[in-house]
Amino acid sequence: MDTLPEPILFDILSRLDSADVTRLRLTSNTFETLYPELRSINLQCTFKWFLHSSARVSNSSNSSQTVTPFKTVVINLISDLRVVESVRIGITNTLRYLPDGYFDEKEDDLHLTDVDFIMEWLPRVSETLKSLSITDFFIQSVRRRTNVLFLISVYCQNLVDLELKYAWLFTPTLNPMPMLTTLTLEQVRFSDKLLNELNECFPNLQVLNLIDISGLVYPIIRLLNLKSFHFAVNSWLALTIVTPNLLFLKLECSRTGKLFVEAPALSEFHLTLDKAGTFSIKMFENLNTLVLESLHLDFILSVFPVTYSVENLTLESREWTNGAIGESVYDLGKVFSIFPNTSSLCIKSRDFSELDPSFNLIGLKTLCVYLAVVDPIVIFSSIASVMDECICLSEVSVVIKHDSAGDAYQSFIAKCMAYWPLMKWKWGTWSEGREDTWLSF
Amino acid sequence: MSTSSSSSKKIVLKSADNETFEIDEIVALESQAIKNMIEDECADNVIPLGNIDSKTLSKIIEYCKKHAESPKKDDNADIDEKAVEDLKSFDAEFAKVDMPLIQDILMAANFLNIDNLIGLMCRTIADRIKGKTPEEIRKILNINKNDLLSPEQEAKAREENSWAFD
Repeated sequence: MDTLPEPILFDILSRLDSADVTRLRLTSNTFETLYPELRSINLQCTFKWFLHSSARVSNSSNSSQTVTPFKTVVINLISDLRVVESVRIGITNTLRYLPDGYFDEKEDDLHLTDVDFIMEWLPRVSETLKSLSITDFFIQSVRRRTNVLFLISVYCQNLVDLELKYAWLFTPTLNPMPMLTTLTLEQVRFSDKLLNELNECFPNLQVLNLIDISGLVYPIIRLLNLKSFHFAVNSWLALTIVTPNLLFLKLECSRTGKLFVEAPALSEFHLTLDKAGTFSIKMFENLNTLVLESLHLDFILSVFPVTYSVENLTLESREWTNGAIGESVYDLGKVFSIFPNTSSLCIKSRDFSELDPSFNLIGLKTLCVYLAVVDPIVIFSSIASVMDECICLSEVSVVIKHDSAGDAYQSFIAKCMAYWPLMKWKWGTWSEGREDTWLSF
Repeated sequence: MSTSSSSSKKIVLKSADNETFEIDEIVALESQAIKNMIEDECADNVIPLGNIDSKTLSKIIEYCKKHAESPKKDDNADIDEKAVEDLKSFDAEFAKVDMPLIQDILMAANFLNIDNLIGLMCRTIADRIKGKTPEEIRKILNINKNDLLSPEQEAKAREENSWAFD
């Protein structure tokens, strides 16, 4: 191992988290000598570590041994490195699901966006830091407002990639961070109701992810260079997106107010929306892939402008996996009048019967249907009518719920393949939270 | 030259133990180093690789062949998912070799400048030592006895970093 060139040894080290690296350092002089040249810290506080941290051990009677507190370890690890380019610290996911008795709200030993803790190491790495990710401990951060974002904007002028999770961010005037291209905020309470600071201080963002943010009322996104935007926030009154160079947009909202989107370059759009108050979308000239998910697909389809460029279309009735019908009954004929050039269609719905298959789409080449309820007779007749209408169809995939894939499904498959032997068929099953399984024949 | 077309041009590699391997030029181009040699026209018909033995070289050629055949990511936006899966499982099988051979492959891939292969081997080593104790890591990596920390150094490091040990 000691004969391998240094760049290779660094390549190996950079693929490990800091706990693995610490154990590796102990194995040989080669790695111990190399360590200070490593440029990244990647450390998670585990459940065991949390339990054995000094504060909690001293309170319990059967104290076995205390372990260095997480924050101290982070500071030590960073101070051993000559140049730090990447810091990724966080609390393991399992800690979020512990019952209340485990926690004392007064403790702040795992409050990672705490300003005093940040100030112990951030100024030292500020010049070189390119990537920073902090996942805070919700139990301790929920009642402690922090202006960590302000500190980061002051100190980290070279930062390219920033991720903050489970924090309560107070954002007074921030310093501009022109180098920042990727920003992810998740499970964050935010004081910037309109996102004014975000637009002003991160003018060169290319990737923006805002997931489960509370405190937004009238968010406005005006970012000239933004390429990819994921917005999953449930309640707001009005959302305005003006992004001339945006290519990818994913919007997930259930209760919404006024929605305005102006993104002429957009090529891929995922929209999950139950009902929007006012819905205004400027024509997409370049939209190629569209995914619509809603309990009220009929509503969304009624307000969506006619878009000629869409070729790949997915329509998903929300909660279809639970067999819900909602008001998702929609007319495929109408779908194709809005997206007349669809060549690949994927439908995720309860069963075929909720669709009105009286449509005429000559251009359709591939069709994929995900179904929750399987009645072979209904599906067969639906497929038969699709086959009659779509003369260019060359590939059909049918994916049904895992537990309904019994003998009836098998004989249905055999029947389809016998009726349309020239069609390229794909058969599969789905179950929630898992990847689809494809059957081979 | 008797080769009929440029698409089937052959390159001969010669290992340290004097074994020769005739391969398609397109396979050899997976190596950035050989590619440079060919472009600079300083490659003869036979390229001697005095620091790579035949066992390692045949393994490397196996890798390059597979990767040269597979469609490249930047060629086309909709690459065949199946081809990607196929290459993934090839890589996983390819990496199932013992540590001395991994190290030989790494040295050779480094010399020949084959980025993907270096990445695959480094990832394999990292995966094998994840979550392991220092003792286990020493065994896995065949750490040289002369390279060990002094017992005092090790005891001190263990005490300071008890958080990293169960």
